[in-house]
Amino acid sequence: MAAIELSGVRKEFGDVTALQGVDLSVEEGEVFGFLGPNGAGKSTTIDILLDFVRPTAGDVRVLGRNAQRDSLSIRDDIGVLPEGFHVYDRLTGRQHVEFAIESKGVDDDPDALLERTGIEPSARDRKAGGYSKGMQQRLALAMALVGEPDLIILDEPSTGLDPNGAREMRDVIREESARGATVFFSSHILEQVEAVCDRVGILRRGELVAEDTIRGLRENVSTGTVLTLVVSEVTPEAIEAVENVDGVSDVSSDRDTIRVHADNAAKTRVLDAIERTGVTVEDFATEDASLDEVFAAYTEGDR
Amino acid sequence: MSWTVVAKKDFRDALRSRMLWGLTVLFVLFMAGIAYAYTLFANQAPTGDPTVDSLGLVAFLSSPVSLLVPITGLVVGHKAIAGEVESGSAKLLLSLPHSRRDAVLGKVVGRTAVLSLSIVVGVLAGILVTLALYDTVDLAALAIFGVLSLVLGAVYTSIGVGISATTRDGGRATIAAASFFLVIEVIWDFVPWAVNYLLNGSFIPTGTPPVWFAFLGRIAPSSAYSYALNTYIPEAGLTGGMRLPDSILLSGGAALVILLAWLVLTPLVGYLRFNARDL
Repeated sequence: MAAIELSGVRKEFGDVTALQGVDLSVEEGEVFGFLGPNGAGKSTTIDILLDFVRPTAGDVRVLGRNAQRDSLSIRDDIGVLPEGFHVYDRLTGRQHVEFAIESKGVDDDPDALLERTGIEPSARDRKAGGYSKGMQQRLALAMALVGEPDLIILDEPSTGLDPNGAREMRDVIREESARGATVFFSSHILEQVEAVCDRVGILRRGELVAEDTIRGLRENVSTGTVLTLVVSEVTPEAIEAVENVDGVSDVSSDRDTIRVHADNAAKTRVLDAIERTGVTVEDFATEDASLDEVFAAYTEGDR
Repeated sequence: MSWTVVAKKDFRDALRSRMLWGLTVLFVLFMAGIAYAYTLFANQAPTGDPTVDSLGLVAFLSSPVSLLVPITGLVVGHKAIAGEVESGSAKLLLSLPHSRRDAVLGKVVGRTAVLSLSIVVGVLAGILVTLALYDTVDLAALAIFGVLSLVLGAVYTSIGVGISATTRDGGRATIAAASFFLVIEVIWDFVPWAVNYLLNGSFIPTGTPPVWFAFLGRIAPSSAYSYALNTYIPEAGLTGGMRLPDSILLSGGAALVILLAWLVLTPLVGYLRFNARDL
């Protein structure tokens, strides 16, 4: 059974189409990264999973149940860190977690959950309205973990977290996954999800443009190679020669290096072209396109 | 029963806010203050009867209470849902297993509990003053007065929450609550007259007013409250000697049914609106 199953999901807000026929399937037990630039429709999709927002068309199933009709029973079995939430300013951190525990009718230990998400004992009985954004995020994560949910939905979980906090967030995701939970989380930064995701989906302007492993994404995108050449001298003639090579998309240079974006096949031609102008290539290195570039290839331009 | 969890959370939230304490102080000052002021007033009454009587106090209190309680009820209730949706805390609430129905019901109960506690403490303070200073104290009448005031408070808190559920904008909820008060408690007073004018060419009916005329006049919650007080504490002599036709529509029971209808229907309408739209 799929933990999340969307088929043909459309959502229109007035005359704005937020989602245009999204099909997506997240398997039980997997960690799925839901990616896309801000405004692509990620939060709308998650809001539909939670029945905050009703789809204009299409079928949505969560844990095999209908996301609209069976929302209450679904929310019994999932944990959610929503995006753009606001804490109850006057309730303490502990009271928030207790509220989640009572709401789900379980008997978790609030302190154990707060401990896991890194809220210090001294902060637990303070009003959550005084928490920093990062602490509020940790608090909401603790609420999401209540009741060992089968599926955990995290909407932009790293918001407001420093690098250390983001790493702890990933640790919690791994622990939950090891327990057997399915984790579905959204992000607008591919690098953040690479370390933990089994698969990712990329949403762009309300359409799912990719659904694959990170490795698969890299292979599918012909972002080519970056060549870094250390040369005896950077001359205008050498730069011009490189720019004229077939398959070269971008050239930049500083004192003694030339950086070239090119197809894999263009590598030798670039070297030849430089040498022909009388400049010696002293050293060169090639590297794969960064994840940023892979992501950009899916989410920018006219693909 | 998830509404009980919501109600409890809402009440806890209010305990930590100044709202509960502010309201309690307000009602204590108001009830005890008026109970005391009434002793001065009764001593100078033109009837020449110097007894200070708690029944007279009920009559004296009914009109300001039917203004103060509705306004505080609306203030307490009108941001309950809209405020949470606007700020985003509704996302925390509704990502937990609470239906929107339970969210509305829990808010109604939680906020009603807050207002009720303030009213109870206020009424008790008033009763203490009467026990200390009054010649005769009719505790049963004061108890009926207290209970009906609680009902009026619950009605207006429910109306506030119901209004709050129809919008996701706190400012709009405030305007809607104020408009409700203006239309139902102020403008509505003229409706029976206007209808009579259309039917009979005069604003005020001649002789004993017809049943519909009197009934329309007690549709507004505070009117229904006044008529219920008048029915259940007749000794207080609230409405003077106005003669009314005999009809079940004009009974104390009917006034209670009107209050009950407001109590149930406005949150229901609010819930239906809330449930039908995106968060």
